Amino acid sequence: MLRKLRKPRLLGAGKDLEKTLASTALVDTNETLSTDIIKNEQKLREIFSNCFDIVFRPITVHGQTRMLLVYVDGLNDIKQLNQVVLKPTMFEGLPEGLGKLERLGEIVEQQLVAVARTKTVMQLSEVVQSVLTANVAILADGESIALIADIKSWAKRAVEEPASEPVVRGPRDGFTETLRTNTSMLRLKVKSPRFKMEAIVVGNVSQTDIVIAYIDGIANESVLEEVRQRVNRIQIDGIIESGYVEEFIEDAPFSPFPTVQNTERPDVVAASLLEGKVAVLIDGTPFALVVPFTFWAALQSAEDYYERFIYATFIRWVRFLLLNMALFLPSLYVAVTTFHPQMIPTNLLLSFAAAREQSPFPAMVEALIMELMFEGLREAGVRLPKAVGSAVSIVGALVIGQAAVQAGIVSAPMVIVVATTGIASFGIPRYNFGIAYRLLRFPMLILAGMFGLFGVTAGALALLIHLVSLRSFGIPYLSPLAPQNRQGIKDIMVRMPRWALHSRPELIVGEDTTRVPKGQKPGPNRGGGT
Amino acid sequence: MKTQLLILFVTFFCLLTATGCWDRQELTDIAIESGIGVDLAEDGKYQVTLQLIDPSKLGAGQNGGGKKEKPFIVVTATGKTILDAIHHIQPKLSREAFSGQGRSIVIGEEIARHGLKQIMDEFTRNPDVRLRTDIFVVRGGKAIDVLKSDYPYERVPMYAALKIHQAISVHAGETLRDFYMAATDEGSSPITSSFVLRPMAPTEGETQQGKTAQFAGDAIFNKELKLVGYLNLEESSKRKWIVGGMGRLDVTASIPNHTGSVTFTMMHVKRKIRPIVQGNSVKMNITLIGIGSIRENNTDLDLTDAKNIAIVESALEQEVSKKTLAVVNRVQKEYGTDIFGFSEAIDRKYPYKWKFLMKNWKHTFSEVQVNVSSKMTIRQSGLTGPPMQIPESEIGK
Repeated sequence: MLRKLRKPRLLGAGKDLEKTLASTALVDTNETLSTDIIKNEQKLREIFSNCFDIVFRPITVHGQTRMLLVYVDGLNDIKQLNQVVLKPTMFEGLPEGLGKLERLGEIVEQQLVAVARTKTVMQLSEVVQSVLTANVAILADGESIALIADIKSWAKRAVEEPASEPVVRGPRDGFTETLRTNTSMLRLKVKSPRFKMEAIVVGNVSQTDIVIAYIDGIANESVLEEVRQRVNRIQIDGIIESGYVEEFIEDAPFSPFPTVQNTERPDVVAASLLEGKVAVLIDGTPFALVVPFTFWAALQSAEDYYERFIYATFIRWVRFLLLNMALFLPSLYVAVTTFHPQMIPTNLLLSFAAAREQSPFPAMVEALIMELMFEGLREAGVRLPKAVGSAVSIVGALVIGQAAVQAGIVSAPMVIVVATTGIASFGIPRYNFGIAYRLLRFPMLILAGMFGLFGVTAGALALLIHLVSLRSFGIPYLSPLAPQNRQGIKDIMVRMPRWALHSRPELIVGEDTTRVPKGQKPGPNRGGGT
Repeated sequence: MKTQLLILFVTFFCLLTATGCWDRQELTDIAIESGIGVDLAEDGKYQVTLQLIDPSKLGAGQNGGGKKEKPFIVVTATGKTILDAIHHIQPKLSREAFSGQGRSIVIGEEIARHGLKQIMDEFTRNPDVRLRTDIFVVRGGKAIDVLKSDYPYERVPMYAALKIHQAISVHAGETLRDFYMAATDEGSSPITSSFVLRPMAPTEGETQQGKTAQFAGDAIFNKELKLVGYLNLEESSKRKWIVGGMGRLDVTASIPNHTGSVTFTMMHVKRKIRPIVQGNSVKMNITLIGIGSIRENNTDLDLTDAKNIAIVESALEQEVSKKTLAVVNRVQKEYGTDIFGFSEAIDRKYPYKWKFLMKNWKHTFSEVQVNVSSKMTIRQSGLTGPPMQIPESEIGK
């Protein structure tokens, strides 16, 4: 039955693909520019027909040489265009001694176009491509080449504090939607020629720039090669967000656990690069991808490394506790009260029993209702316009929290359990990892409701087996705990002081493994000075 | 292939969810037992009484009222076995009786004298019953009366028994587990706590209403698990000292040649038992060690003086040795049941000789020569030397 359903869908997909290929093939990639500017203009106008935002600006230099500027309106710095291109060519004229027309481009490039980046192209498709990627194409009569000037400038969002990963202590800048801004922020943090950024264009229609960033020598060569391959393999019409790329390059698409980290913090990316990880930056989104991603990285927040290590260690333990609470608390409550009331301290059981006396639903159904309501509240809170959001939280707190208990529909301990679980699930620093745990508590709840602690144990074991078998770009998901690695353990449940974290994560890093040379523990007799 | 997998998955899901083979029991479907009582019924059957908690009366802050009502119900029935009786209780209950939280097994005196051999099986065979459940005999009364009685402090009255044990710092020797251990041991005999039903502050014209269960020492059983006698409160504390596991203990002794008494609170209570076996004669040297502080001094002695401390110490030692020896001798003579762990001490030191002694231990135990010595050490006597209210001229030197 499934197969029958699937066939027509496949056919449809095939047709779509053909269409997209046809649309991109409008420009013959081999066609070169003609020396006749009128011909060139005609061709370009044909290609850009019905493109409202493309500007064709013909100018005449010294009343004899016709030139043509082609650009996308709004993506270039018009002021700069006027100053460095139009004014010198139209009013000040070309310098004396201009002989052959063939050299026009060269002269314009060298003397007139005082902008940061220029290049010459010969093919029509390249001109089109350049114009679409926010460059100004300058064509001249009698030239079979076009000059491409890069004076990109468009409305950008300012660098702001990342909304999804705020910290108390630490850098406050976050990535923006502009790839160039993002790469510049990274370069400011890692000023080394070993810091490489390889650019790839992905997306048949969208032509999105993707940058693979790594530090040469520190990054693991095999991981890097894997990232290159996986990104290059992507065949897609367009990329709007990093999630598009993530779904193509992740290791376990059907696992609830993410195997690719995303962050909008440049400091997190820079620190990951220094650990030997590889980052993938995508134009148009403030979220960068970092691979490989491990279970423990999900429990590390940027601030762990900025705050003092004792506190960081404590907060990691709290997080680990919260992680387990987020997964197991509702299911343990259901399992213990409905299957093993022997296990609870008597007075606690009596309180539970007294509170449950009125509730009409079985504990598991009650838990499911409340958990779903909580998820609904959370979703509504995220999705609604800010002005309405507060209304939702009031309704949620009053109706679900209080009225439901007073009306005897839901028991008070269940509200406490669900609320605690909710808070716990937000205690996980990586949002996408927290989602996995939030999802998994539902099957766990059903297991608990059906088989009690036996079910919870079976579920936990299945989960553990799954986690152990997961890999992210060749790195075991639970490393460095499983497989164990002594140096790596210094940065899992505890966060050793910076001067004690001598080497980079062994499985991730490439050749350059030393992070901090030994013997830097602060103290009165540290040698050196006096 | 995919279709088959889907069908398999759906089938399994239905098997898991739709067949109804769940052990699930909501809290509103069980009646939580707080105590079980066993009495002897007239026709040789057992009368079993359950004290069941009524959670709606506990009112966990939801409906403030109803606190005056008793939060428990008492149900009773007779049967040939304990479980048979419980099966006769069940028709009276809308919820299934659940013994997993039971804290006390109450034994009526009559059935205790009749013997516990026939009734103890249910408590081990039932996986819900905790081995740490308290077991106690109602001295001169019936179990049902104790289960019916209310206790002002505790939400559930049966938990009072447990907490009384904790409050008087007596832990060892009262749980079901200890009972079974002593009962199965070749030499030892089991004991249980005993409670008596009595008003807290007796006044004239007392009624059944105000009576609560109070700890009243130990009940001694013989190897046939029949109740043979009781130890009073003081005697049972001495027994516990010999057996070990005592946490804290107060001893009060009067001082010779000085009027008044001294109360000594020991924070470290230890003991040493040294058996000496020569042929068929067994000697037991018991050394009781106590380290603590003087908490009350009604004599005229100045306790800042080391000389007086020595006087008090020796008085305490005499008191302890004398009383302890009296307890051991009384049990040897009257009951002949080894409730002091002597057999274990001999087994430990003379494992081979014990095998011969074991056969006739019941007889030998009564003839064991017991020496009790004690070593009391006063660490602190407080900064007040002599009692404050005594004029300086009357202070004994």
